[in-house]
Amino acid sequence: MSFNRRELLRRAAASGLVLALDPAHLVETAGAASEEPAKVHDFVSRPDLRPPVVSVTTRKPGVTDGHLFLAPSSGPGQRGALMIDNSGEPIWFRNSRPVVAMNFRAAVYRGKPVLSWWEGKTEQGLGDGTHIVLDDTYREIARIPAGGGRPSDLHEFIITERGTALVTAWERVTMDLTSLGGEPDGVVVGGIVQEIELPSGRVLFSWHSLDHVDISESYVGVSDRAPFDYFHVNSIELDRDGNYLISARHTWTIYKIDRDTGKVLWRLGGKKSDFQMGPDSGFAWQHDARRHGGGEYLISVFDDGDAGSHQSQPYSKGLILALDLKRMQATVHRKYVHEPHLLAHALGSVQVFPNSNVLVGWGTSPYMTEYTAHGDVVFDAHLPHGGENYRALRLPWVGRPAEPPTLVYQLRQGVRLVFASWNGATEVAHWRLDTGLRAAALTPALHVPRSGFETQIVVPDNGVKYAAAVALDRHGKPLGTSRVIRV
Amino acid sequence: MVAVLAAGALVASAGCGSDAKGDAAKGRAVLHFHSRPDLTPPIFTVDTSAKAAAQGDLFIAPKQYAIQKGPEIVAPDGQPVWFHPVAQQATDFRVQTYDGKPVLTWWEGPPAAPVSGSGVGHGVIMNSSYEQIATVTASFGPNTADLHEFELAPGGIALITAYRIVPVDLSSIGGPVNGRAADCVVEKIDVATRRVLFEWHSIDHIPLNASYIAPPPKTGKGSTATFDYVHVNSVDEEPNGDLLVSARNTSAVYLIDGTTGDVVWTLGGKQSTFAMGAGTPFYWQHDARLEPDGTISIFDDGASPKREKQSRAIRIRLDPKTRTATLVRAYADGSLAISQGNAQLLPNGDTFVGWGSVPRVTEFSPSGRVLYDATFADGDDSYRAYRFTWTGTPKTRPAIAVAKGKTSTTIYASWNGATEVTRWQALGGPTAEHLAPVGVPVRKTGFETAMQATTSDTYFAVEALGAHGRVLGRSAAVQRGREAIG
Repeated sequence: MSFNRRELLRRAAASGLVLALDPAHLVETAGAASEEPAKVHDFVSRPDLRPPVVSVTTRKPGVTDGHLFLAPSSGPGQRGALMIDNSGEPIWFRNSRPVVAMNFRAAVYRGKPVLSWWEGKTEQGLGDGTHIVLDDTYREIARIPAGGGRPSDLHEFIITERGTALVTAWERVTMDLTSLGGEPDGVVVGGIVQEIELPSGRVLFSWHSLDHVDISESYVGVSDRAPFDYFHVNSIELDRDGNYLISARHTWTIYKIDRDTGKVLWRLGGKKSDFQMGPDSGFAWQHDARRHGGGEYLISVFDDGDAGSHQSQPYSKGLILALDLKRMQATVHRKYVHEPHLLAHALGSVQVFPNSNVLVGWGTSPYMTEYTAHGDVVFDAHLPHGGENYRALRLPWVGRPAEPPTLVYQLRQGVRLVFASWNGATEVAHWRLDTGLRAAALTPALHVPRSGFETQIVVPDNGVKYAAAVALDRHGKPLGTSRVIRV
Repeated sequence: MVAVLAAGALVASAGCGSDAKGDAAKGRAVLHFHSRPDLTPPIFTVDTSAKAAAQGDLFIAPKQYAIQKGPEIVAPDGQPVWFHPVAQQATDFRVQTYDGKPVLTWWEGPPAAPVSGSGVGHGVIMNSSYEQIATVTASFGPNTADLHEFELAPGGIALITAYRIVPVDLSSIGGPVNGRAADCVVEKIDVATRRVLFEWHSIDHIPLNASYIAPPPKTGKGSTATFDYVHVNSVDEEPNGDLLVSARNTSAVYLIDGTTGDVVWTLGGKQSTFAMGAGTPFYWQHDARLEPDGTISIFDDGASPKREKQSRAIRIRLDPKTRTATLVRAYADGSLAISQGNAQLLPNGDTFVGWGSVPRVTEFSPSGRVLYDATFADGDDSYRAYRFTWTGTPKTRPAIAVAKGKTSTTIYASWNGATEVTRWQALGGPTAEHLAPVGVPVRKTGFETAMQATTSDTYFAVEALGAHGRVLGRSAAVQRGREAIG
């Protein structure tokens, strides 16, 4: 009944059919006839949503449960927060244009499941924007800037169990840079780590990199064109002992910071590493440092190995390092490399699941790959060429949108069709089409399995004039009903 | 030492390009401004402007051949007041009331889809500071509102039209069995919530055989063409919630029950409820409105195809008892619109006519005397045209351009949309921070006012002055030979 949507589009285009009442696609329809796979989704029922297509190239048993959380920040299609299933179909998308969205994830806030992401403008890899929090009906419940009036950077927003948030920010400071070959009144960008109270934004902890880390630790050269972004903090992790682990891209170092004094307890990597770095354990321009392990001390990190103008390694990799805190030695516990090799010049993430599977988000090489503990690839997908994605995360999420489902009629090749969708509704398994001669007297006509973000249904050819779509869960329970439309 | 240089803009016909020949030159004669080189509105030529004419500016939206298309407010003397180029086309530009305040409204989008003469876009509502405060579309999704109507009704409600293509058996009227028809949709939309309050489909209420246009052929290539049998082009809400709907391709006006959608009566066409008195038959008409005196105002194109010598703005009185339609007034002045057009009853009793495909506007006194008459952009058109009094206070800054001559400096000042400016004060100084008045305030002469000064200053700015010399706004400070837009 509801055959493949792309196939239908291809046929419609091949027949030269102009898609009526679908203005956004009048032009693009012709292009759909080409052999190129579509780079951007276009939905009849939601022409306002144009997320990029995520192509899934590997999907094997053993993939961890949950949906993929992405935020395409360049390339074809709209920018925004994008949740997809394992076939690459969108579950929920929110267009963030004209600004970009990054760091999209599910979290828990005050005991309730929430979505959060950062939204704003970026310049030189640093952000100036706001963190946005939605509830599970997709209603906005908070907008949180960084504390103390600081520009809220894009890199981190972790809601802690104690109801606080860990956020990154930055500051511009004039300093004498003659020791590094710069000006006596050069402008330095320092990294700031804050723990803030929610939702007040009151600063509970504040750490300024310039108070603790000398500018000579940087691997970035001083330039007279741009401020000297010597540190570039890009992740914060609350360690088991209550202290912080932070990653600084431009010093190639992960720092352990004392939660009370802000003192650097140790450095992993970089010019002043406190650890002896074992074979292959070094990293550069890294992202997303996370603590793992029970008895053993493990740290996962995405090792970009490149920063565009400064490539230090042939390819990027996901790393899990084991730290021996007695001997102060770091060794490679696990290493994840993409075949073929990928080289990200920015962004990236590594997520370690309880079953020891690992999801690597390849940043500016917009792939996302899930490996078993043994390194076997069970899932591989990517955004269209030109796309970029800060972090790729797989997380459980149940969404119950406050908005009703959408149902839109369209005549194609003389066939009456309706298209049903419900942005963000995770529990829909089937659509029931109710039809009738009067809008006020509809009766169930047919059931169709949900076929993706949008499900196409052929209207029964029995003279019915009105229809509504009812979303059903896997037990057949109605979850929501669209507006009644004329068909 | 300041003097008025010239009244307003440099007028330049587009004779500088190789494409300015024959038909391609039509509608391309435009105005140029030193201070707003980004704006090139069409030239608006006033032929008649009697003292007895109504107050207010003219509201048009050139959309056919103009280099820049979009809503434009024109002063009675033909000078632009506000021009807002859009990416594609705009129609039905006028002043309406929203949330108790006067607003600018228009439809915007690409033309000619899904059937010829329709459009797929959205309605725009702008406040008196020229900020967009709402958009309206049909229930089928973003940009699915047709270009023909964007009427605001009390209670924050918009009346819009939309198109839908439906499968129909056209064999009863000589067309294909598996034919396709354009179902004209009328929707009442709550602007703030986007909720659909009422939805009406022509296919449910108007028979196919009411149309004056031929159905597609039974077989062959053209048989799958969409039969635009109704072509709704205006919707007017009556005090009781019923809707007055004009349909060009049935040459009829319908009163639609605002609750059930049933046709209460039909005026004109093949199935008129009323006997049509002398002078009342109309063809391919537009813009049917119920006027406060109970008459119905219609713009009777009379073409195309041609059924009359000239288009008319008519007022018809209906007698429900005898079921007769009587002509009350008819205004015509030789123009024949082959499409579009409207008639607006002004507060002073005059009738303001936009001649649709003919780029002309005319104000008639109740007795039919032409009190105002103007043409714009030869070969261009505006779907409708209106006359309204309008007060606009833009959030932008005044624009300035400074040209250095051999012996003097010319300062050009403008402020797109600022209706309250009466005079301009030029300022000059050695730096941008130290500016002092140069000469005395100069009376505003049009969209752009030119002021000449003999001065050694390097930096200039302009101040817009309103009633009692109050400063309404100040431009950026610029050096000679530079310009600063708002």
